[in-house]
Amino acid sequence: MKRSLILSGSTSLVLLVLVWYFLTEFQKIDPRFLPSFHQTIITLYTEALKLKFWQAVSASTYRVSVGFLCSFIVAYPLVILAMINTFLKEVIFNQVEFFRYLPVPAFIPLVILWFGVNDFGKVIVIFLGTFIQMIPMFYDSSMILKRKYDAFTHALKWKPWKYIIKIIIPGTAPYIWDNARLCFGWAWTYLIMAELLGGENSIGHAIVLSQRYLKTDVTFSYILTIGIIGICTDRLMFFLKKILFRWHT
Amino acid sequence: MAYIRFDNVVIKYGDHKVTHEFNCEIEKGQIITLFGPSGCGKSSLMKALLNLIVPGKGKVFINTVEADKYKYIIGYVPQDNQLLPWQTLRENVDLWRKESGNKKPFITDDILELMELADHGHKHPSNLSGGMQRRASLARGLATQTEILCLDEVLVSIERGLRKKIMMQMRKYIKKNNISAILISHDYEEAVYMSDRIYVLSAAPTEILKTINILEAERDLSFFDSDAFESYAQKMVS
Repeated sequence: MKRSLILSGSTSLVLLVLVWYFLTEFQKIDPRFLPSFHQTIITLYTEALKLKFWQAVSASTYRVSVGFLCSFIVAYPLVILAMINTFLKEVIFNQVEFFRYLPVPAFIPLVILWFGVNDFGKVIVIFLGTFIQMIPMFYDSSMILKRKYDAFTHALKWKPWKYIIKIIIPGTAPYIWDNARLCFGWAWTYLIMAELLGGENSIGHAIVLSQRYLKTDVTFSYILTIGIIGICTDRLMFFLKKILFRWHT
Repeated sequence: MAYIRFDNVVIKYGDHKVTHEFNCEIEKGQIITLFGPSGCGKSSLMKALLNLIVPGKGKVFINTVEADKYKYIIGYVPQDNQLLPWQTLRENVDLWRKESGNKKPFITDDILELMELADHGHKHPSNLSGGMQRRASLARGLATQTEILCLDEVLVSIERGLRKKIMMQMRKYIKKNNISAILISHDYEEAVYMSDRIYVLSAAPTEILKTINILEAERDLSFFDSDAFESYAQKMVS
C-alpha cells in the first residue's frame, strides 16, 4: 500500500480520536453516555490484565473463525457447482435470492429454540449471516474470470471441471480472498449479535454486562477490542495475500 | 482438396449482419490473411472456425468434418493475450504444449528462444512489457501441436525493431510444421510477408473485395525491400 494512503488512513483515525478527546474533556459530557478517551484506554488496559478478558476474546475469535470457515467451506463448492451446471445454478440462486433479504436477527429466536445458546447456536448465526452473502460475491468474481477465458478453454476443448480446476480456482483465488476478508468483518457483527443473547465468556456478554451496570467505559473498551482484532485480522489477510498471490497486481 | 473451407458462412449478431455469404478455402500448410477494416467481421470468422460462435447460415469444414465436430485442438492467439497471470511465462507456454499432446518439452525452450523470451521464462506476465506479453502469447500458440493456427492481430504492440524478425521466424516455423494458419491483420507489411494468400475484406457486412496470391515461397529479410513486396502492398490498398 502506498505510504500516502496509509498516512491518510491514520490521519482520519487520529482526527476521530481528537474529536472524541475534545468532546469529553471540554464539553462536560456525562461519562455514562460517553466516557473520555483516556478513561477508555485505562479501562482497556485494566481489562486486558484480567484472564477473563482474554478468555472472552479467544472464545469470540474461535466462534467467529469456525462460523466463517463453515460458511466458506459450504459456499465455495456451491458456487463451483453453480458454474458447472445451469440447473444447479438456478436452484442455488433462487434460494439465495430469497434468503438474502431475510434479516439474520429474525432467525436468532429460532436458532436458540433449535440449538440453544451454546457455541453451536452462535456459530449457526454467523454461518447464516455470512454464507448467503458469500455465494453471490464468489460467483460474480468467478464469472468475470470465466468470461475472460472462455475462448481460451474452448480452443483447448476442456471439460467444465478441468476449466474450474485449472483456471477458475487459481485465477479467482485472490478475488475470493478479498471477498472473504470482507465477509470476515461481517462475521464479527453477527457474532456480537449472537453473543448479546446469552452465554458467558464472550465479548458480547461482557458488553451486555457493562451496559447493565452503566459501565460505558468497559463497553467502549470491548468495542475498541473488536475494532483492533478486526484491523489486525484484515492487515494479516492483506499481508498473506501479498505472499500467497505475488503474481496478482 | 481444401483443408479448411468456409462454405457460405453468414454471421449475424441479432439483426446486425456481419458477413455476407463468405466462401474461402485454405489448403494444408497454407497461410492466409484476412485483411480489412475494424469491425468488418474478421475475428467473427475466426471464431466460427474455432466453433466459438455458430454461423447463422453456412458451415465451416475442417478436413471435411464440420468445425463443431473437429476433435483436435486448434492453436489460438487471441487479440487480448489471455496469458494466465498466476503462471510463469514458461508454464503458460507449457500448458498449451502439454494439453495439445506435444510431448517434447524442449519445444518450449525452442519457441521461447524463437520469440526472444528465453531469459524471461521464469517471470509472471505482469512483470513483462506489453510487447513481451504479446510475444509470449504467440509463443504459446506456436507451442501447440496443431494442424491449424489462428492468429488474431499477433504483431500488434510488438516492438518495431523485432517485428520483421518475429515474422520471419513465425513463417518459417509454420511452414516447417506444415500448419494451416489464418491471420487477422490491419497491417499490410505483416499480411504480405506472412501470407500465401490475402483476402481483402470490405466493411461489414463483409465481402471479399480482392484475393491476392503471394507467389514467392522463400522469404527472407530482403523480401521487405523488394519490388515484388511493394507491388503486393500496392495491390492491397488500390
